[in-house]
Amino acid sequence: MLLIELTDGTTVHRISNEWLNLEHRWYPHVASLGALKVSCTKIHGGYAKPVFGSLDLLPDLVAGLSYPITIKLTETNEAEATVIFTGTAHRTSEERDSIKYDLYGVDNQHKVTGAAYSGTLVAVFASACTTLGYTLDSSKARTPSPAVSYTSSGEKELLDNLSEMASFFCHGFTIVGTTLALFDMLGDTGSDMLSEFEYFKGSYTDGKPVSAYTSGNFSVDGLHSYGSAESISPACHTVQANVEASLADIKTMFQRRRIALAMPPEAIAPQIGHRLDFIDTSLAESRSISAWISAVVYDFDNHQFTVEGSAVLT
Amino acid sequence: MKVISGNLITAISASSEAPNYPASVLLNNEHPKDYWQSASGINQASLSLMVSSLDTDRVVIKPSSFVPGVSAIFGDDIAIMDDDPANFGDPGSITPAVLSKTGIALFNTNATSAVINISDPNEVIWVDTVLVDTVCESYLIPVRMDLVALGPANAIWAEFDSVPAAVQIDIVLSCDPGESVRCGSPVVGELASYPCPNYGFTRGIVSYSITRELNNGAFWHKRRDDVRSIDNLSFRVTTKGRYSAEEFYRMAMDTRYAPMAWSIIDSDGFEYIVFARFQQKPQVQQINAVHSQINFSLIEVL
Repeated sequence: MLLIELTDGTTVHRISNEWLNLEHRWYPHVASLGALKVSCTKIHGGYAKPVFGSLDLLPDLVAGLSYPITIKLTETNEAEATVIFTGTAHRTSEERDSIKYDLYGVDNQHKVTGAAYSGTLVAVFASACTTLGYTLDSSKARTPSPAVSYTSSGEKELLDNLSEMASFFCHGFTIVGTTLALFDMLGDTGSDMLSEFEYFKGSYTDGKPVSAYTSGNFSVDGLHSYGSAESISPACHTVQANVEASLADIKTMFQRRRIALAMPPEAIAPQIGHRLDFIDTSLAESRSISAWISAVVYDFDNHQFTVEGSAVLT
Repeated sequence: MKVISGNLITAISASSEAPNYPASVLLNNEHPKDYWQSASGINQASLSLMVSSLDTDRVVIKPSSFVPGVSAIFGDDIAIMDDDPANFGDPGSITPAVLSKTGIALFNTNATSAVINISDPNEVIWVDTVLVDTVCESYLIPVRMDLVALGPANAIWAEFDSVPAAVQIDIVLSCDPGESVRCGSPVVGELASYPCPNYGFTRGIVSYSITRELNNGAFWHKRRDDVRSIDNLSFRVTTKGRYSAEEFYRMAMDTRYAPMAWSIIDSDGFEYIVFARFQQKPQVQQINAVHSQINFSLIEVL
């Protein structure tokens, strides 16, 4: 169930795409909510930044320029709701049958120029979180944490630098509220089982063959003698062994299948970093599948959530 | 077939309210799912509806034999008073008619019993300097319950003789022990009566549920509300008779998409009470020199 709190001054409007009589009454003022996508910047990690579409409200609720907005999901009650977005709804048009808003998330901004990073990845993130005002949750980061040796060029957002370093070391991170959660893409932050009654037709695709993985002055061989080389940039370490170790991890991620799996909203509350385990008996040969979620598309208009990520079929 | 058109409720209060389900949401409420609910576990509570008077055009009195303190009753040979005060008391301005009635309907209630008490709290002085409360005494009205458990249908329907004054309607609702009693969309208004619909109307169910095929071939359902539809409704009226095709047609125009409370009794005596809007607006067919046939269809609202 979709729960949206839209704050107008001191009034909190509780709205949804259907009538909901929970602890509070949620009015069906949402005419349409464009798909919300949370996706890591790269196959092998990076910032899982929310990218939100538009919100169309029926015209009899509010029509102001902008409102703070919180979007939540729940399958039971308000107390169990999970926040998937906090930000601002900004009006784009006022029409006779709807008021349209675009949604904007709020990242803490901090520009850096030629910043030098050293120490472990977790230590680098801890320092950056202090600068950005986030609380770091590194409980799902790799142990031991890989060493970083990287100097960014030019003026950049600190979050962009963090995203590049995280992906180089096959880590991803999410920001929910004031918590930045760093996690190892080769591991998982939790797991969910899907029964055969909890997903629609899946898509399992393969990436293009890669002959070599290169970064900076170093490279590791790909699985194939054909195909093209995959360039990983920037290199976030200067020592050959460290770079090659990271490229080996990235190679592991590239060699996995790609999966896109749509499911009913009430199947699970998909989370970036989680592992999905399920059996697809509809294929010619029944497959046990483990999938690591690196992107989630919340499509409320079509009543489905789609997870994307890497997968192993056995 | 009866329909309550318009809504004369001007204020609503309740003896008990859940924090987020106040009685105030019931005022001018066209959505039965937007309901009032008593506090947790309170299985008996009363709703008080303040109801304005019907249009004075519809004031009913006995034209010549009015007896102070005695109420006119349904079916009495009475009159509709001219709305021009200058003509008041002029027998020529009085048109014979039957006593009009007021209908009460509640929808989406879990009440298993209800008692309705109607009183005139203001004791408004009536046109003949007779206190209204001597005409419309407080009394209990038998309540019929529609127990069709389909969509937001559970409804209460009641009728009382119209009085030319604002009245207070107290409805005591009781549900099963342990539950909180609730209801949505109360309607009080003039009750218009029309002939039973002809044979041939159809009742259907419109489902708003969503169905999609799962990977294994089974189906996933997002279960949402079903509503009732009543199609191919028609009734025949004489062009100059008691039931005016024109009046029904005008009512349909006035209400636009607003839902109304309907009590539809078919030719076999079955009764359906629905809070419905026109799905197909009425078409009046002039079938011969003295008869018209009205065709329309309804769909229940959520």
